[in-house]
Amino acid sequence: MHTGTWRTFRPVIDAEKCVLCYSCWKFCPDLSMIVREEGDYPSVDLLHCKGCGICANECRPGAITMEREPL
Amino acid sequence: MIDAITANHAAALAAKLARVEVAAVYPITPQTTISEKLAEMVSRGELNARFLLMESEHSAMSALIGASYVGARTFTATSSHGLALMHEVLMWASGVRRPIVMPVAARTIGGPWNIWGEHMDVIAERDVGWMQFFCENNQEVLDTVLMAYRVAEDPSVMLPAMVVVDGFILTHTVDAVDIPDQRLVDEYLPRFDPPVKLDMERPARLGGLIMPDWWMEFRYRIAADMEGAKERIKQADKEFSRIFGRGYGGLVEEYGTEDADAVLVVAGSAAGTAKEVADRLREEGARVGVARIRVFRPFPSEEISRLGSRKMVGVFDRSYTFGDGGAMFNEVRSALHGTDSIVKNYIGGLGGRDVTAAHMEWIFRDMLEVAERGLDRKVEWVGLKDGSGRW
Amino acid sequence: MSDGERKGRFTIPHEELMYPGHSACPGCGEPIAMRMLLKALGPRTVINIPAGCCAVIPGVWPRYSLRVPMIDHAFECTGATSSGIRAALDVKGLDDVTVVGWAGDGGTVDIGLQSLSGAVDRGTDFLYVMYDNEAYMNTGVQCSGATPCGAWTTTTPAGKEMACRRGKKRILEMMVENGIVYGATANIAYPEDLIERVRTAKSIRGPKFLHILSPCPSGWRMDPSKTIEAASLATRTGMFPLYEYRDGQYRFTKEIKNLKPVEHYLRLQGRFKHLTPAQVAEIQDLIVGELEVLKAKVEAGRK
Repeated sequence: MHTGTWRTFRPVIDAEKCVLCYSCWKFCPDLSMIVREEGDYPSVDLLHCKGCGICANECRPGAITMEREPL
Repeated sequence: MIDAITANHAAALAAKLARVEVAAVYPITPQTTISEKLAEMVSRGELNARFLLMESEHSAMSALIGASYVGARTFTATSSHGLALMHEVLMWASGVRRPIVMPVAARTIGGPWNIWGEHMDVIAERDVGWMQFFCENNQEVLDTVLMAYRVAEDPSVMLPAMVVVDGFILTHTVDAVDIPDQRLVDEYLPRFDPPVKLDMERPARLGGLIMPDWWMEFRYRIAADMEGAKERIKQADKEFSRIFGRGYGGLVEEYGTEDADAVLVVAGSAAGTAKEVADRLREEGARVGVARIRVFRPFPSEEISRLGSRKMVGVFDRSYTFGDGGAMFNEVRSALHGTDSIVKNYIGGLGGRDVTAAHMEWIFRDMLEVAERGLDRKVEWVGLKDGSGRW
Repeated sequence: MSDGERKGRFTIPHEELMYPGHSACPGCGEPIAMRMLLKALGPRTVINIPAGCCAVIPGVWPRYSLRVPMIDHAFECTGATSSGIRAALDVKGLDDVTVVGWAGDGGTVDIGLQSLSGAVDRGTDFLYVMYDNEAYMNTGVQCSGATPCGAWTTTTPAGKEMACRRGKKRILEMMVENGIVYGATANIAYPEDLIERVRTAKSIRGPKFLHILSPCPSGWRMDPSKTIEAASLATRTGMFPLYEYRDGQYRFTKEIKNLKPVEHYLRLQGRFKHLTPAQVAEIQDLIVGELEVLKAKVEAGRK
């Protein structure tokens, strides 16, 4: 099911700030934070991300912000 | 090999002969000795089954559904309150097509307490999607457990089956039973190999959540396959007859019905009494017969409707269900709809009250009167102390 | 951020054994817990699940979100079904397959208690996991035996008296008395520890019980982004201590030196917003008391 349609906010990652702790990947309930290999920057699976914001909340360096989904 | 054993012992032997793989047990009178016999067989190494001592009947049935999903042949037995406690899980088992076979010692359900035989517990489960076989004697109990596995596990059926054993009358009465040879049973009953089961290589969800857009299609399949079970039962009976030398006549055993004016429809051990009395009355020239319902689910509509050419059909209910007459009466009457038979309901044998030859004689004579004079009343309770119970 | 802080390593197994696109609410703790459990156990796992959020989350037929087999069953019989599955797997020679009973708090401490007790008593070799969102959430937030003291639910609406005066049933302790060979609490906010608990459990034969706190943004009345934060605070305030039981001994798996006041945890959640300062203090005392009891058990084991 493409649960990405549920979203009102989407996570936006600032690679500059990202320290590759992978907390966002670990905690995503919807397996929508993708990290293919160690050392990769995380990317968002927009087909499935529900926009819960856990990733942004847990990101210590503040590299993730939740932005309003375009209407 | 012929031995003198109770129906409970026979049921346990059938489970052993069927090579059940997982048995879950919980005690309740009057089926407990089935579990005890199984326990003995397992501990002596005669039965290589996982024997689960469950903490309730609901749990017993739940465990078997899990085991059946993994592909094991499963067995349990219960009665009365235990059967009632299983109610939701019985529905689960048939809904997810698990061919569990379960002898049920037919007994009352309280309150108040009464531990003796009648059919109210199994009749109360007629809607749950299980096949229901009613046995007349101990031999039939053993044979029917084997036949039940064969039919239940047929890929075109895949529905569970209860084998109804009249409480105390059969469960605790010793009778001669011919115990079949294991080799012959192995020939009759292949290994359980269901089309859908747990597969570690192809992980799937077994059970699931079905929305309104698909549920009816699943239920229709169950309904159709329950109907189709009628043919499978007849075939299983024929094949049983070929291998073991005895058969039961399919869904309904007809006894002297061909030229009968009055036929009594009856299930369970009381049918034996009915047949004996019918024999005696036939010698006197009375044209009476017995149609013994061997299989109540699926309901033998065709066989019953063919009785519609007889003047009178009486239906003996060994339970009471608060409808417009008893449960079997209603289904028989429904199948006879459109024919000219007069149909009357006789209620008796409740809570361990014996159904005697005298009761049966009274019923047959009453049926012949009705055949002659027309229906006097729809429902008649037979054997009440004060003789009342007629409306 | 300096380069020295860049990590880029997986501290939990990378492989996923479930798919995205399941039906959980945004921010739900259950799929986080399930995801971590499956990473720890691997593909030779069978899960059986009763009624509850856990039955709805994996999707609607014919879609299915887990990559291990799953068996559905009625509400109260997780323990019983686990025993049946285990028995049949053994008959079929599949003794390397782990049986997991995965149930919610209602389906465990209330309606599922008898069945669980029986399965443990029979010595069934399986892992029972209670994902605890502290109420009957699937039916819309009703009080269960695991609802904590003071929590609002639809059947314990906040009034003059503190909602839901009962504390949580001490299910792990009950299971210890029942005869589990291993038990532990685990927290999705501490994934490495959670995976360690699951792996430890898997290494021991017999009945094992895992109690995982699974915050529910919908039922706890909090922002879905706060799930992990709430879970973390539960442990850091002492409301949900992390400990294990094995061989007759209790051991803390995470020692929190300076516990934060419970208020930090309670104020995050709308279900506690009706609490007066006096009631918060009452809960603080309750938690301190329970921790003392637990510490005594841990100490007793050390002797």
